[in-house]
Amino acid sequence: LNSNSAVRAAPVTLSPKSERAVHIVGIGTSDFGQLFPDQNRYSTEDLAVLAIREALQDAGIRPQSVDSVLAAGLRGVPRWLKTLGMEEVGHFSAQYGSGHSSVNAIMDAACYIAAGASDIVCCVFSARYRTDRTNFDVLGSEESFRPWTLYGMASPGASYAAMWNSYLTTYGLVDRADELAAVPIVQRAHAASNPRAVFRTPLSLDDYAKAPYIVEPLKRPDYCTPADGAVALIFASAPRASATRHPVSLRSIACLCCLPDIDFIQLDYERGAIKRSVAMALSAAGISLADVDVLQIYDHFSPVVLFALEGAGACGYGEALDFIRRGETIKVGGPLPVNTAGGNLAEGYFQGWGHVAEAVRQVRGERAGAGAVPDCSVVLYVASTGGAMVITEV
Amino acid sequence: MQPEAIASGIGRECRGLLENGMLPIQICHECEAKWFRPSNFCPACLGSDIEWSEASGRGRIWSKVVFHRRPRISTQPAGGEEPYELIVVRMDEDFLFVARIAKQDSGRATIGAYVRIAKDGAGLPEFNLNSDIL
Repeated sequence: LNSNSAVRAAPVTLSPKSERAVHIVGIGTSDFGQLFPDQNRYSTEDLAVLAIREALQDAGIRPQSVDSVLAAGLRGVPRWLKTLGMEEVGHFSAQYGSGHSSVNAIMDAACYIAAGASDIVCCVFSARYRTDRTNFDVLGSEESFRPWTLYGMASPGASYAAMWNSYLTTYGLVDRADELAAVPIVQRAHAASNPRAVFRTPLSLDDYAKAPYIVEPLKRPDYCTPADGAVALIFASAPRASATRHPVSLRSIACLCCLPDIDFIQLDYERGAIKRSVAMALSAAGISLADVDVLQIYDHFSPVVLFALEGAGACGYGEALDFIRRGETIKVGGPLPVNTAGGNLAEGYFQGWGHVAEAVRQVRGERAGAGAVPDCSVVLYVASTGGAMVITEV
Repeated sequence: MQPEAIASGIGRECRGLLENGMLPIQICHECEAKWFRPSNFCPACLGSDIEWSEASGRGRIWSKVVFHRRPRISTQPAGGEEPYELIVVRMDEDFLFVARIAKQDSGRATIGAYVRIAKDGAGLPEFNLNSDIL
């Protein structure tokens, strides 16, 4: 019906090089697991302060050296900048804290540095999904009435349940539906060695089998874990990064915003948008998927991991269950470890920001315990609705 | 928040048509485009000379889901008591619509089956299996 659908915009891509290269020099997070059990006493702004404080310490940078701040998920006058001693920051931008926010804010940060406008940029995401009992169900608004909500089709999980069921039928995999369990099982195993993850206990096949359906065919462990927390990242120009302790390189970034017709349902299970953005990010970085040591995938629901593997070209369409081999391929120690901090399912749902912090840890080689991927030098982050970035050693 | 509270303007019109058992689409008099998602603007040419029309009501089941837990909306969804099944239909005009399948057909409503909007019920449209094609 919609003739616009034939027109494809190219992903907006940046690959800053040499003098204008962009480095990630500091990461900081709140303790997601510690904040999870009870109503936490920190405001969304406090959580941002905690994460930024740690990121600045990590980078060895004074707050006054930061010349731009990009904040996702924080509204209102940013009085918390004063708490940090950043009341005279050059540029401040508040952004919507959606699943696109990490790719969007990091693209902005990279552009400021690549253009020479900024030398040190702080990006932060903060949310109190658990304490505030944030409702992710989709009712629509005055601007966009969603007719299917009248029938109760009003949750993002239902849209992914529909895509997964369609996928299983299309590829003749209905009798292998339970192999999806490998995704939450592997990610929970990864989260066990992440000291700040929400879920640090393993999930067994039996646990998964006994778990209740939320919207069938998806079960509770297939859903992400909304929690309280903040993630901060400090970016620096190449000359300024050279004075910091452990810079890594933001080699390339590609942004693509694909809005579906019915909420989250895409007829191609989002693989087309992923394919286009990953292709742009990899080619801009001058690498191929075979060079990627760790894949971080935005996983609000577990089928997305399989769709993203196919979109990223790890295997053909309909082959993801074969590819993951009940988790053997995507666990640490396998050929393509995925979501090594536990991802949105197990570390906690922070709109993809936790994935980027984990990418930096892996490239630095500072990830401890069973989650550490030896000799990791290239990480690819994939956002499910479009967007990708490549993080490498400097 | 109840669905009633949010449907104003074009959304309220769409809702009213649905509650009369019609599956509404919009047509553009400037470029002849037809679309489903309620909008004050034609998605093809951005024109605003647009009018309601009725979809064919025919399509095939693209997927289906079973709600074991109701979304956090305050009104009873028209899907029924949990667990309730909803089908995602790829309509002949090539848009997706989500609704319930008529009770007598629910056991046979497999993905790929042909369905059509039931015309005889009051209230929201629901789908029947389309036996003309089966």
